[in-house]
Amino acid sequence: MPNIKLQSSDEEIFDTDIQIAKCSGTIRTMLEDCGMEEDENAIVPLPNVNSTILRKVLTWANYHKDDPQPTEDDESKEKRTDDITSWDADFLKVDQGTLFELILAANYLDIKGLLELTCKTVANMIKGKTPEDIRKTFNIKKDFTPAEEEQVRKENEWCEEK
Amino acid sequence: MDTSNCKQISLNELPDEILEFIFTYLPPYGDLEHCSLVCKRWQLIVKNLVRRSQMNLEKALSDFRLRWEVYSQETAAAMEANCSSVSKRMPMPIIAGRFAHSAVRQGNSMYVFGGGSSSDTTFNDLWRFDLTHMRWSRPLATGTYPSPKGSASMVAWQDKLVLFGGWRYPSLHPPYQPWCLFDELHYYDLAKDRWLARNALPCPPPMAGHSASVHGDRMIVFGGYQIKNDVNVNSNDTWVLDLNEQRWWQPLFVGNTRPAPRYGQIQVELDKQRLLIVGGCGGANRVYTDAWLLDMSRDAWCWRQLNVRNKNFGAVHMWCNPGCRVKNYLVVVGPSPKMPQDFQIMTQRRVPAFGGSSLRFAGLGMEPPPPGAQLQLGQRPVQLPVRRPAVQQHEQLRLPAGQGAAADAIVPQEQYLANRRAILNQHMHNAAQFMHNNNVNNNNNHFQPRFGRLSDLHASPAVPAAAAAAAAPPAPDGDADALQRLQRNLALRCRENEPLLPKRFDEHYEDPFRMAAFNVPGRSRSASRDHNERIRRMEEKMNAIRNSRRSAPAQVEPQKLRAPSPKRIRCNVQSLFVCDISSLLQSTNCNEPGLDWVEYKNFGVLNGAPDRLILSSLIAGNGELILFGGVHKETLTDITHQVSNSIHFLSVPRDII
Repeated sequence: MPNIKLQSSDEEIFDTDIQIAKCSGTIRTMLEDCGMEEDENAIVPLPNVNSTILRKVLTWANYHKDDPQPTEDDESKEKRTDDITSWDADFLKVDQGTLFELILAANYLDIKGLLELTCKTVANMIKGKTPEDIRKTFNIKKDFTPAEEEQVRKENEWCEEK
Repeated sequence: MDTSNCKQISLNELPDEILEFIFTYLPPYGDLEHCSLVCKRWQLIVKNLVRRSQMNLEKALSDFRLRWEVYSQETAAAMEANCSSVSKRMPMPIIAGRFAHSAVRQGNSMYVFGGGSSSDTTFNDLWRFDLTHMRWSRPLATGTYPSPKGSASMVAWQDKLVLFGGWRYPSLHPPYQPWCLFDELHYYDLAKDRWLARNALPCPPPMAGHSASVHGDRMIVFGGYQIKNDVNVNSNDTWVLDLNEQRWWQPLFVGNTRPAPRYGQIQVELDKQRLLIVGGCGGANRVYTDAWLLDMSRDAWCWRQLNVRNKNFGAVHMWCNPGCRVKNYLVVVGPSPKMPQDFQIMTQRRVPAFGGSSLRFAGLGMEPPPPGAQLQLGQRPVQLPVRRPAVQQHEQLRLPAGQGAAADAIVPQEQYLANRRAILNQHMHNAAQFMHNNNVNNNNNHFQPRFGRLSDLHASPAVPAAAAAAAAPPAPDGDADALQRLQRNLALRCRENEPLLPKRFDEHYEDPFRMAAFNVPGRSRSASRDHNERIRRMEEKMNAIRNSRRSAPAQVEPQKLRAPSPKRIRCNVQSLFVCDISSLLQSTNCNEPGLDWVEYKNFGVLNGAPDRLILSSLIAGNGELILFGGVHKETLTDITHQVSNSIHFLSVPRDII
């Protein structure tokens, strides 16, 4: 298997199996568009991903490299958030900052599986919580005045009437 | 774990699209509401998401790009097994399978009332399905309960449910359980979990299969099968209930134009002043596919018939199949007339529509398997794929689905009822044996009588079963024959010679247009009294025979019953029909307002489509449609019907950002 070199934002070079790197839509497009596949020494710059995150992404990609490609009509499970495998769950036992950076990286690198996994994880953190709990969990500031909050509540009820 | 970055990013630093994508993994009910209350940014994102998912649903409806997902008893069991936080000592209750029930959405819940059971009885229980947490629960209600009934109308108004009318099953034992229509009006106070009976005069006649919708503080009721001046008729009357004052009145109309009398039609609210009626059934061979607009904006109201275009893509049986409105569309679920029968290609993908039997409550105070005769009978025509543990396939295949309800229903008068039912059940059981002999001789008999098991309604589970077992009746042959003849006679009389008893579905199952549960032209009620007399006399005779048999010392093994040849069951699934009603909603008077059925794809059969059921309910959720319950039409000929307690969600496949 040929390898390629990925360069993180802090200029660390990752020598990576090309098949693994290609789970990223972004890298795949780059390689194809620039004809870099033949060039052993080409370096793919990834200015939006730091080395810590890129290492994790590659770990994930390496573990999932043999996953069957999801077929078009295999949609029955996609809405579920309780289908996270234990390896993935362990993989994502990270602090919130890392989790969100992984989301950003997955989005930037266009890795569908990782994006879904990380977003599901965040959704699971939100599920079943009150608005106050959610704010506490994610350190979000409440910017509603009591009147505004009441207004939103009313709107929600009104939506239900529809 | 650590990051080499000095600054940790937080959730709110993610771009809007990603937050929205995360929110799509939340159930679009309570959790999403909570998110909208977190902060202004989240509120906007949620708003966008809601709008987008509504648009997506409409778009998907117009080009049939949807899929079905099932929430069945098995789903619930799996969920419970996964979720350790649910306390183990209280099993999650599951609603019993049912059809012709009333369902309505209120807030983040779907409420289901009553309906017909798998065995010709009717329920009067109220269940709530929590859409946020995907859980059934049964509120412990106080107050004056409604009668057990099906085909009643239930609407949500403010924080109340309003239940009106309905119909109770006939049985083969009219003296015990007469057939009747109701004019009961009940409010259910959701905050207090309390039923309130509200019977004021004047009120509409007893009716079932009518349609109702809420417009401001009014409930408009149209049509239905009614008893008017002692005569049974299909109606095209309109009644208005002032929901605040709880006062009924009838509007004045301009001219005489109005829909033909009917029941089972689909009625949807267009706005505060207008409603739409589609379909319905006016009796034998009179199934309507027309559409009417009721304009209530002036003092005198006005009916207007609407153009229905593209009818060849329209739903046909819009009286036993449910429909509901999704903004610019009317959505109907039902059989496709153009689809080839035995559509095998589809069957590979379908989801068994019912987990209706008592799977979850095995070992939790449920009935022991019924004695042999019933078993044999019960197994007869089931060929549908049912996902159940192999152990249970034989004993529990056809146990009535009412066990779920029974398990958590402890009502004071239960003991009395249980005693009464024990007696009834004994009769039933005996009847079962003889009926079965009868069936063996007359396979495919169209008048094959059914008998109902009443025990599954609210009875404390052990009592009727014990009674049935005690009554296991080995019989000397001569008496058996006599009793069999009588029983059969009785059954046929009940059904053939009684014009007032609604015809049963199975008498019509060859002709889908005539399957009406209550489509018999009316006659005076006094005739039925005479008839009841006759039946009572015959029952006395039967009891005499039974008694003599019981005292007979000889114990003869019950005859080994030949398994009847399986009946062919059509392997069809539900199709989706979509009708564009946007031209009715435009404020500018467009010249030709009407309904446009949308050209369907693949006969309206979508991925994961449920089995074809009739008399189920369809309500609109957030960005999805929710189909619940129903009965396999083909099994209405059987002693216990296959009724569903599964929920099927019709939603849009996920789009990737």
